[in-house]
Amino acid sequence: MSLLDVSGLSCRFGAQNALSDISFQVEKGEIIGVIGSSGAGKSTLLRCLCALERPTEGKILLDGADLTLLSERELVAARRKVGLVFQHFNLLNARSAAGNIALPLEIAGWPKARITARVDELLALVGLEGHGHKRPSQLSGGQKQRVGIARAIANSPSLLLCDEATSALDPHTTASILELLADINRTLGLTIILITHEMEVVRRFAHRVLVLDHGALIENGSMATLMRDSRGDPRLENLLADIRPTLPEALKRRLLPDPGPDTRPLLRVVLGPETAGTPFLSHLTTRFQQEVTLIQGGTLACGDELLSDMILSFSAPLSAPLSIFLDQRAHVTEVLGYVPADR
Amino acid sequence: MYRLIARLIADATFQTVEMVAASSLIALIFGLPLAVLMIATRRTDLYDLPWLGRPVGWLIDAIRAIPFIILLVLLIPVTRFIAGTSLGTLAAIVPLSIAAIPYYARIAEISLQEIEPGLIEAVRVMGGTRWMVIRYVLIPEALPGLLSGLTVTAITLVGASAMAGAIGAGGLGDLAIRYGYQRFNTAIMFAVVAVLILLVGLIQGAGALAVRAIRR
Repeated sequence: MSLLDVSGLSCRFGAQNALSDISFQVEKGEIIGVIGSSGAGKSTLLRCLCALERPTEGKILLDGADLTLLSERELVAARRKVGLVFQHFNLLNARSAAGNIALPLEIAGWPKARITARVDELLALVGLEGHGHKRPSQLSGGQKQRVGIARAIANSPSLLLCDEATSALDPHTTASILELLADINRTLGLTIILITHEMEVVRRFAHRVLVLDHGALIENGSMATLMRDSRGDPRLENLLADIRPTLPEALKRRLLPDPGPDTRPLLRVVLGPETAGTPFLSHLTTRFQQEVTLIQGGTLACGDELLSDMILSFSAPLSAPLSIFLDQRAHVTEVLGYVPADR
Repeated sequence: MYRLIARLIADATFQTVEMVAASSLIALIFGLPLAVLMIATRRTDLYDLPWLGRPVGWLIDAIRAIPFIILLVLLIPVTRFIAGTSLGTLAAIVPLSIAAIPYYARIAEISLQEIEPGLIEAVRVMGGTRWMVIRYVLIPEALPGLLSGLTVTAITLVGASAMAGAIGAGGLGDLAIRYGYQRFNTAIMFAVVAVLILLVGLIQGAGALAVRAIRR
């Protein structure tokens, strides 16, 4: 049985459909990225998953218990199985870092001595030894989020939800926080659902991606397959634009739609996870005598898989065998246009 | 002569402090729960029972609309019932408190209102009950504001207690009016005003210190 089983989930606010007929499963130990532009229903999904919002229809089975059927009293207990990390940390200013981490344990009624021991353990786990006495106002953004994570996992939840957990942080801190989350996932086997609008975060971190658009789930698969198969779907291409190579402006201005007497073809080539790690550019040179220039892009790590997304410039028009080779090896071969070969 | 004046001022100071301290304390004890009630019933992420808190707000506004000197007279039967007498320092504490409770309730309400909804959500998600939200979030997070509000209330009461002289409560304000103003004794008037300034400064200073202590 899956850890989390969402089926037919719909959520309406008046006439507005925030979520419509969403179904997915999450297995124990997975890291799931939920992505979508603003207004796609991410927040509503999150609020349903931590039982702050009751869906209009559908089921949310967490560890076999249906969150949509529980009474307010039972929900209070069910929420303790879910940890939530917030974008803006939401730490209590009146409490120290240690006090903030202790809060969910106090709420759950732990005895004092056990709380102290557990808080020390958690401070060490998130790399904040010796900072326990500090107030949130004395901590940096990254440290605050570490406190937020320690607080979220204090009560050993079975599911950790991260709501734009890195969106308020700088890139360096984002990387360290993601590393911490990945570490927690590995060592504790904790299942993580990461809700974000940052494709880059999902790419580096998630085993699987759910894409929401206008309240509907439009994609559910690995990041590499998503990037590989997203051609032609404007909703996906919009989201992926951040991490996709794009043609430099200078080249774009010189781009011609049709081949001329002395032009070089510009191609976008995407290699899926099956072929991304194998020699490719060298083949173009040795087998087809093409001088190939990498204009933009390269090979990306998507979760555990590799994916190559490149814009290449070829020294000569493409021959028929070359086209066949590209069709066989590459997932996407798209001729972007032609540039005059004078430079 | 000077000894007599000093004696008068010392007695009056004691009466003022007594009235202000007692009614501030009562304002805190009754005003804070009223403020919490108004906030907790209004917020949709807490009890969401607006019909319960709204009449409390009306009552509070009604009492605050009455000029204190009128309230003093209006409340004489109530005062006699609670304090056993309608005259004297002890009796004045009743109308002062009844004026101070709604005043402080509104000030406390402002501080409680400033709490970020995210903090309430955080505790709810941890499986905290609504009562825990009040105990762990609303009160401790608003504490600096609640304390500053109490300071403001106490200082306002110093002014209001001057009118309590009308029912024989004594106090510094009463001394200034009767000896200083009505008998043209400028020396006493200035002396009393000096003591009042000192008293207000002390209350303000103590309040600021307390706020700094909890903010750390």
